[in-house]
Amino acid sequence: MKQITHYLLPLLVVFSMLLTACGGGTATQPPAATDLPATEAPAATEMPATEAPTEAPGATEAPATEAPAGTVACPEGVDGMAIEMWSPFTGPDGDEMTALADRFSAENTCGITVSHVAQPDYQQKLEAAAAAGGLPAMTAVHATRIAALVSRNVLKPFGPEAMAVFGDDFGSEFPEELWSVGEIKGERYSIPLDVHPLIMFYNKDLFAAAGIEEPGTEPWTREEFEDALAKLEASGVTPLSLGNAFQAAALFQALIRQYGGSLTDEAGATATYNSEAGVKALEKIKELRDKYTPDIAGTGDPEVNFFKEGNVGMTFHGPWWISDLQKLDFVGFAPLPTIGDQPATWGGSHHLALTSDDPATQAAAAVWIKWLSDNSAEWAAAGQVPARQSVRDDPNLSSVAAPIARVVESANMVALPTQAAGLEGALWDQFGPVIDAFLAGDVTDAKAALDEAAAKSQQVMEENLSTYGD
Amino acid sequence: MATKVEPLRVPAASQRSRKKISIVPYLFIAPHLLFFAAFLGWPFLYGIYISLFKFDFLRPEKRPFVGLKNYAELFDPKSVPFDDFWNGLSNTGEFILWSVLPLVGIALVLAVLLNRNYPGRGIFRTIFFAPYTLSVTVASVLWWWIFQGQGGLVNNVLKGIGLNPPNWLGDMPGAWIAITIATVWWTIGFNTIIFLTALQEIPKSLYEAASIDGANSQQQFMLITIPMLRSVMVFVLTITLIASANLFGQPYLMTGGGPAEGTQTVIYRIFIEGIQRSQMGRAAAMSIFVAVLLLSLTYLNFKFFGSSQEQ
Repeated sequence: MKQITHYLLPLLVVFSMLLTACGGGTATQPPAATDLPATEAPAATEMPATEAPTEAPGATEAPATEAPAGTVACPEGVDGMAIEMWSPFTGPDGDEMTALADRFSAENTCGITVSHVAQPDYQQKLEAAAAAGGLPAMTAVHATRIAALVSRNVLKPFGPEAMAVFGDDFGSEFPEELWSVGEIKGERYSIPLDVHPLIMFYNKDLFAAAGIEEPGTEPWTREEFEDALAKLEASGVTPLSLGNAFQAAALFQALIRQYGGSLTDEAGATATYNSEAGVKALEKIKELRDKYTPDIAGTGDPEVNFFKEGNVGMTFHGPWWISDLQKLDFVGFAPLPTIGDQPATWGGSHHLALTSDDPATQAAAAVWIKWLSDNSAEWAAAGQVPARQSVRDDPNLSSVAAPIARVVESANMVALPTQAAGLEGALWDQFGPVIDAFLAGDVTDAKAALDEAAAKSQQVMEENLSTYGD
Repeated sequence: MATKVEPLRVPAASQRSRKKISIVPYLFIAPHLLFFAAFLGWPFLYGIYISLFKFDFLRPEKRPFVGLKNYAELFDPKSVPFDDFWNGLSNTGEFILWSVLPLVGIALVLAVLLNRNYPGRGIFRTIFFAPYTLSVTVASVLWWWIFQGQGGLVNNVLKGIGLNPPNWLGDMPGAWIAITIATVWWTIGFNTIIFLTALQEIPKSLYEAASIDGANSQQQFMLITIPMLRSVMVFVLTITLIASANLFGQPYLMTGGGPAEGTQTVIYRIFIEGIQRSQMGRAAAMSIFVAVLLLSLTYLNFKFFGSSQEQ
């Protein structure tokens, strides 16, 4: 018998060591299937460096009441505090957040240092840390997940010490809808940071060649959109890049509101996406795909890759693609056009929340959250529309984050789902597959398919209510 | 002087000592037993315990005992998990049909080829085994890039030669084909090396005797190689069946369970229920059910293919 072990096994050991060493490093950028937005954009981009003028030493010593905008009084006992913040920002947005944390640590006069840790498989890590008692001081969180994380004892309410840092009127600086998302049972659980709406990316060169006027900062009307499709088609290029999976599901949620419907009733207790508006939305997406786009499907955003090849007029996707796409000179940015009857879009929102209930830690974290909110124009450079109204209105925004300034209007077109634990999953997990099946032609009766999905959503929503309700 | 002669009595203890069980064998298996108990035995038992509750590890205050409800739900068409669970189970079954034959058949062919005598044989053996040492993430992301519709390697080549390429990861059966190819490439090395070792155990004299009797190489393969590989074949089939039934990482990373949940396997579903939806009691019940199913399959496999071997 040949002793294969003599030469084979040692070789294998060496091989496996080499390969797993490589593997460890490259394993972090999958086309992550079930993960919702915010992590997929590759490679960082240069952005106009807008160093905020450093405060003169005297300024920060002024009493709190006279503090200039952008500085805060230091709460007692925060000196020397080290705050750890987790987030799901594993793309270039994570680098931007780390840079902001470093700058805050260097500049703040309260002696607080912040370290930002972007976590792949963020939600599992957060839950495991909660179970094992290893939570950081605070975390960035998707708005749709706040309710469940509160029910599951991960997030802690802002105490009086932390709220004092923000001042009394902080809430009025945000759109009402965004601010109210962070309030549960009378307690404040989160501060809005940004909104990421579904927007339009278009090819300037092809638009020019087809004689289409570029869109402004207001969404196109339906006439303008249909006119553009016709002109692009006439000029001999592919008008639209429309896939399935995430993109189609996000567009479905935008269109259902454009046709005057909604995913649920106002209380978030009944699934209503099988309404006439839902059927119209689904049939419209299929029509657009059948008429104006080649067969693109699959996870990992193949529709964006197709758009990047430069032979297609426009596509719709999340702003986390901005930092990658703005490296291509031909790409323009605009709000999602009106495809149905009225302007509306899909979007999500990142919030900042506390995972510690220690008053001093909370206060120190609040100082950083306040600073970050004041400076969220720079966070916009990472591809997010700031949540703060004053920052959105800041004329400076267009120099810090030009593409964001062009789509900032979209943020007002977003309707976040009602705050109920697990609601997004209860809806999306059911209508998502139906959309894909309908677009693939496996299902032909849109109404019947949506009815069935909505009934299932209803069942899951009721289960969630019994799980997380009182 | 009469002395009472006591009948010779063997103390009970020494009687037992004759049958005394040696501790040495147990010491030998102790390290494995320890890890087995800690990482398989205990989790399995704890899983059974969890499956009797509506369980969320972050909400100890809300953890009602529900008895066998989590199991009963799996057989109640009106329950929340019913459709998704059975969809997952049938998808897993479909993947087993796709994957087991190539994983066993190609491995056998490779093993026979690698068992011949030619220069560079050792290098080829290493090359065919190498992918097995990768993590599922590396293998899946690699094949995602090869199969993805826009700019992926396969479709670029197909377009280049003027074909209209299918949408591998977004359509059926393209998604299963892509996942099967990725899985075969990734794990074929393990089965191959098992077959290779078994081939080398077959005495050369059998082949010599057969060739003297005038058997050609095809007859030698069918009448000597295959029968001699029988017990290894049962082992490889069982291992492959179990590995295929545990499919999760490849669809998670390559298709996201799509298109339309068509590649959402039962393990994927358990992950969604337990980790994403925090219904851990239900996920545990699903796991136990699948484990029992796999144990039965393994039993049948050994019963039908393995029994005559031992005589």
